[in-house]
Amino acid sequence: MEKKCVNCFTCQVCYSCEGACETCQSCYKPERGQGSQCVNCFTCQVCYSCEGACETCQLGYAGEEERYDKKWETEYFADRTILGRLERLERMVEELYRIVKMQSQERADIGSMACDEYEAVPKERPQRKRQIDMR
Amino acid sequence: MDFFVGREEDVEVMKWIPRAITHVTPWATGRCNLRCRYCFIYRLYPQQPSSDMPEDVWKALVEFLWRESKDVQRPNIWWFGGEPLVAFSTVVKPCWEYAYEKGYTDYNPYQKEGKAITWGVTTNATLLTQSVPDIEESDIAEWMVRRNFGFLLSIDGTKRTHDMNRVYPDGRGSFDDAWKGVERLMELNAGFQIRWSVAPNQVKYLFEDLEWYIDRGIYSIAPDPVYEVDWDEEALNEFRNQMRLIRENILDWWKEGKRVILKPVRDGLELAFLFENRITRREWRSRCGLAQGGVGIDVNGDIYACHRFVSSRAVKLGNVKTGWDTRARIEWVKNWIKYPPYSEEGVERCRKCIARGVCFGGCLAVNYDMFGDPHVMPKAYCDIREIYIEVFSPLYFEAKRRGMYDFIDTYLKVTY
Repeated sequence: MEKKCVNCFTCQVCYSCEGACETCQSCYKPERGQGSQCVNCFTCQVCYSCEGACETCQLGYAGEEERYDKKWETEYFADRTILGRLERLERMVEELYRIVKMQSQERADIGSMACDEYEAVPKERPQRKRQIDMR
Repeated sequence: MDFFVGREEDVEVMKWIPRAITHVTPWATGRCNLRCRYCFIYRLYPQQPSSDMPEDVWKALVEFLWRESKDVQRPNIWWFGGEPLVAFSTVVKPCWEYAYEKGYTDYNPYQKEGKAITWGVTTNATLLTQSVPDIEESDIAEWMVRRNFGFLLSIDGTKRTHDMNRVYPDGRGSFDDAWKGVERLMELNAGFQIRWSVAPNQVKYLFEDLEWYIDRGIYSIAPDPVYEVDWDEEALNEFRNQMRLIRENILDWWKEGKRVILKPVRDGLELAFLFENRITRREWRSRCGLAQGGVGIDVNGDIYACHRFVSSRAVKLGNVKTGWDTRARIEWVKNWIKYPPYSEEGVERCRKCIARGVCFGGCLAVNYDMFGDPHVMPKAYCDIREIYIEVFSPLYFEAKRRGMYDFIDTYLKVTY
């Protein structure tokens, strides 16, 4: 099986910087009534351009993504007619579910592998201590 | 934290602790004029303080934020509680006046040159139209709007739905009073967001009520399920049906210029976006609930990991008068990053979960309240996330097909 990290991606898609990021803070505007929301830019690494350069991810980055993107670009976006776009949509949805299915299987398979991110999770089943009874 | 003198094993943790905070969410008071049936504060932890935040604490709070926000240009104080407007005259108003006199804020802090504190309030809206002595404005709403406060209004749909759970101590529904507050804000042309708690007993009215709001030009709405209660299969199926109704209509609303922003839709779109970009896992170690951006403050000035942690008082990270308890802060983050969040049903569910790519653990405080561990997510959270993904992921591609990139871009920038 190809060595592929399906567990981590530390390239900061959390949006939790909320302006603390040095680049963002000057334009961070918690708009009235909008909650905490940067309305101008989002430089907290939603670009995904690290492509494995990130130290945590580099072991898992297999370089397949680039070929995948090229295929996506050339095959999926070549036909710009309405019918072409409709067909593309169907293929995209199929692709999405294929990925979901594949990833679910990968995660199930990965249980016995060394990079199981859940390895340190306590083995005993969690018990509820409190919950709200609305009656 | 400008200097760090500590243990070698803490170095890894320190990278998850930012040097500045961006906002504080203080309890203006422990009192509330309502007794909501699903209240995560009073129903889980009935023993809450009946006092308001005293003067020495709210002064220290302002100074703490000013100092700890460092070079963040628009740090924010967002009042919470209890119902903060119960303490308008004793806390909210004098605290603003103190910051104003110190030159930390202005009537429009967003246009002030240099650093300025901005303001907001989470309120049940029932007291917004109340007149109070010693202000020029005719009511609390006008006073706040004039000072550019943000508003997060805790209102659950229409009167029929809202009054099921959001009641006064004598059992009367509070919708009529809350809606007067909403109408007053609209009259004042103020921005606000509706924070809509969805409990199983209300779920069948969700879409119908949403349309009612959209007809009134209210588009910024955050419906969020109450996870601390039981969701049976029937309620979850109804929730799925309601989400599907939203999916069938939301792009048409946008085409009509009704730019409706809904949290569930955002969550589904985000996963499709990640998949399209071949991202299999979003970061979960950096997030709210860890004092990495904002913190909650109780009436005594004690600092907690976020406002939701104030009610349990379990994760105290310092006090606004004495500053951070750095050891407690490090231990809290260290405890969090030792392993990822996981489902109440066990990690086998997580491994197969279609929502895992965007899962970062739900609300840490909900998890802590229910399980005594911030890592454990209640089953209902997992079920509902999967519904969001199942229902709203295809919407991403549908929006692209229709060329609605504005819709996608706007949604992907929204944070909750």
